[in-house]
Amino acid sequence: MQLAPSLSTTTFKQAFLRSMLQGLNAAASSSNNMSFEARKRAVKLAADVAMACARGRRAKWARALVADLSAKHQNNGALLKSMLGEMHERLVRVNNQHCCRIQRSKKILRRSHRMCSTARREKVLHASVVAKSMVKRRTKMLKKIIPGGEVLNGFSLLNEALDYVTSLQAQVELMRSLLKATEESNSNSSITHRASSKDQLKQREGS
Amino acid sequence: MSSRGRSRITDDEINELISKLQSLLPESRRRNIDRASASKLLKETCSYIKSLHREVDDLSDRLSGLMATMDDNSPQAEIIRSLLRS
Repeated sequence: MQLAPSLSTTTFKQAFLRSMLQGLNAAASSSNNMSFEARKRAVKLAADVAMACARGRRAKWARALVADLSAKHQNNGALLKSMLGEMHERLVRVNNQHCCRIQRSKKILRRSHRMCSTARREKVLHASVVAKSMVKRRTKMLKKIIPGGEVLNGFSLLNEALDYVTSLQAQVELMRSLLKATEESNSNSSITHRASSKDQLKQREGS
Repeated sequence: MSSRGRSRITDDEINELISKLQSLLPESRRRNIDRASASKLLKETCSYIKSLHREVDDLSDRLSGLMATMDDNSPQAEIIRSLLRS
């Protein structure tokens, strides 16, 4: 079994930025009617889709994330469509079927747990039992926080976590540099704007 | 990445995975984990992921704030410049 391949940084970076560009342009073109909250949500959505697309469909968390976002953000359909193409519509359909299946099996599990719990009350709380239940609880947390993690276990789950954390770090890094570049360009353009309006003022005063 | 056939996962592979995961965590979190604590590794990984999520949230905030003050063509320029810079 292979461990997660290390991300080729340049490929990821280029793919992320290109994706992000599509998303931000889509957001910008509709931003005149958007509230600040809505625009912020659109930017975050673009960043997450860009991260998943940059990582590629071979990572389970990436597929799960795209499916999840497509289903949850249907009011941002234009943005999603521009970043994902027809994958978006397909995913919305697939996800609706998938969700029902998961909910049903969760119900069944919960019912069977309730029936078994009465037998467990008798157990002595050895340190190893406590340790095991902590690992169990924390594994559950990890499963929830990693997209698609619900159906993974043990080695696969940790493998996925490794991949996901690496991608998140790259996402943060790239967004920081994007932000920085945007801030710099903003201050540059405002300087030139001020300079040119000063010139205009001088010309007018001169005449 | 699909695995065909149920080949045994060796102890070495598990240890390698665990140490890779540990090395991803920032120094401050790594200190909280002693060698044999799977539970602590899981806990630190979870909370690290959550903090990365919060950071992306905050960066999205700031980025969208900047977008409010620019015209439509500027995002393009920024990103292309970032792409070219390596």
